[in-house]
Amino acid sequence: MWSPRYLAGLCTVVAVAPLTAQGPQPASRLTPGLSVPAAWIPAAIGPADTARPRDSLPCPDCHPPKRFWAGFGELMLVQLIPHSVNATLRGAVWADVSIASIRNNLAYPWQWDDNQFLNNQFSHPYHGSLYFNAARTNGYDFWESFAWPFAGSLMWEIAGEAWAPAPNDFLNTSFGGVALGETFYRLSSLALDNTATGSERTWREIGGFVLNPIRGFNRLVRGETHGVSANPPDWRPSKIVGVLDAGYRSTATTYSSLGSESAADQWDLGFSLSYGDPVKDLSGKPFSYFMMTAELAGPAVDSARRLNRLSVRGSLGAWPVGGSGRHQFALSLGYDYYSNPAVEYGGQSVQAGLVSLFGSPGSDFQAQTAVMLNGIIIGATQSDYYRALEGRNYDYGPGAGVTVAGRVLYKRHLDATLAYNGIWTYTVDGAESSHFQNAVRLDARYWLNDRLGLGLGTAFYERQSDYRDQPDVTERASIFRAFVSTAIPRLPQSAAGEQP
Amino acid sequence: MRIRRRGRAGLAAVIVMVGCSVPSESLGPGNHVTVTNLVGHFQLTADNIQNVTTTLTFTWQNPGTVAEIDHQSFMPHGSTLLIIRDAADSLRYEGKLLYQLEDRTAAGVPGEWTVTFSLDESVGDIDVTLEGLTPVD
Repeated sequence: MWSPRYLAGLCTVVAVAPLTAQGPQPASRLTPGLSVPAAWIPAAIGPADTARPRDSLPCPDCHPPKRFWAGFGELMLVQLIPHSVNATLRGAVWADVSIASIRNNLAYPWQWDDNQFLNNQFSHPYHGSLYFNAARTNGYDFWESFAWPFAGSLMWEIAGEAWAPAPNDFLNTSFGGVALGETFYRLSSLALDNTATGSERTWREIGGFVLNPIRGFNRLVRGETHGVSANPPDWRPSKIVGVLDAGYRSTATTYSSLGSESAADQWDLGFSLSYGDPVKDLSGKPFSYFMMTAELAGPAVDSARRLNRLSVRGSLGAWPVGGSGRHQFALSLGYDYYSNPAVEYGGQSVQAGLVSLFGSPGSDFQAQTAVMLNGIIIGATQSDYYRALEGRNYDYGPGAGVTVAGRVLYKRHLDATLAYNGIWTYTVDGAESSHFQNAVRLDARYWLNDRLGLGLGTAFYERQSDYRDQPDVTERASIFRAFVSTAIPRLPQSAAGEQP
Repeated sequence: MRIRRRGRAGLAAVIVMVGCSVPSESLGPGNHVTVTNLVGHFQLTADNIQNVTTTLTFTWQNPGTVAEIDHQSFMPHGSTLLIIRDAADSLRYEGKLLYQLEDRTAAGVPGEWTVTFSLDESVGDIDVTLEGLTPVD
């Protein structure tokens, strides 16, 4: 299967590169309500475009035709490639698909599988993102593409392998595929520039290919990797903020009942990308606003991997609350992957709640708050007792949660976020249990200038696991971080850079 | 350890479909069951298993304190458990039949061990080998 362990980190680098390459930008043309500094406007929007006679350029990507059979063919290709590799090169028994195996998969009950955390919680969602983009990059919009990872996953589970279909694979591939798929689609749009030529065009096409291989393939075979045309307006967000943190992280963990404790000192590299305007774009097309967070750390400790985190929250819609224009009821789709020395959790979820903005643009004090309820479609929570020889050490189940968060920016120098996340999951496969997870996080940065800052962060994590037949376990962890922050390309003038 | 598989009948059923009811069968000549039961070495193979529910129990002379388990089975459907008890009738191992993995029992009393295969609506091929040994600390 697709299991590039460091893909997320690689994608992060590729996504940032085109942003950093954009250079000085013109003033924002956005509404004064949320003034956006010039540096946050990507190359192909705003008055900069008028420097080139682009208005007269054709825009074939503005209204692309729907290519069902091309999308269907790519969906099949995305299944056939990993299947063929495993069936022919590796000789894997599970890839020995026959009429009998398909009939068995249709006749017998589905079974949860015991694959490793990375495989189930990252590789499957990534595979689903390819299904999604088989449609998305063939002329279909977000909602029209939504069903494709569901269909692709169903096909794979029934006819792509001889194992019993697994509900965890289906849910992670489909919902995770939508969240990651639209994220990678928009990141690849960010990398691409139809007006670019020469080496810049080449590098942008390579970046777009890495971020979205299906789209890269389509552009290659359709001859879209060269030639000048206009960029569709929705290839560029209304604003974009990237922050790269590099520094040190210390994690101390204790487990009650089990009588164990651990500590880890690691280097830590975090990247957060806020795509779109977190207030105005919430009510736009799905994922007009999304927040992506990735974290790498090392050396790897225990079962934790260097990819410590990959999270996405993408907007699905929003409606104004009250007449002030400051409050909105928002819906979002979430994907989470945590694997650090303290936390192993992955899941697919939807959020609904109130997002608010306080403070006037240009004032010394600005703040954003979010109070969101979290519906967990499927969550994989670290288990203290469930151990499978295949490598699974986590419990599966649906759940619910809440997020209460606030972010303040004071005089454009002090930037602080305080957030609480609570998650409850009920195990339907694994050690019979319920898991309660609570996390409080405080991150503070002092921006020395509009590009460089120093930061401290601390987080307290608690997991209470109530087991039916084993002693309950309470895990507590404290995490401390010290880091240097780099704003890419520059610090925004407004606090409205990202949802807390 | 009690393992929750409630989702098999719950969430999975809701997601897509419920498996059709297929009458259970027993192992027969078509399954080519072979048993090699020697001192310190045990192997069971069977193939073409289709919706079989049965229990197979063997006594095996293990001169060692543990048994190395070589899992080469492929059982994509149903539940197939391997249960091993030592000469003192203490449970030393209980786990699913797996594909291309190795495992080891807990240490036990050498002598007459009991090896049980519990099949519940199982589908696939069984290939399990046990080797008795006494680890050197």
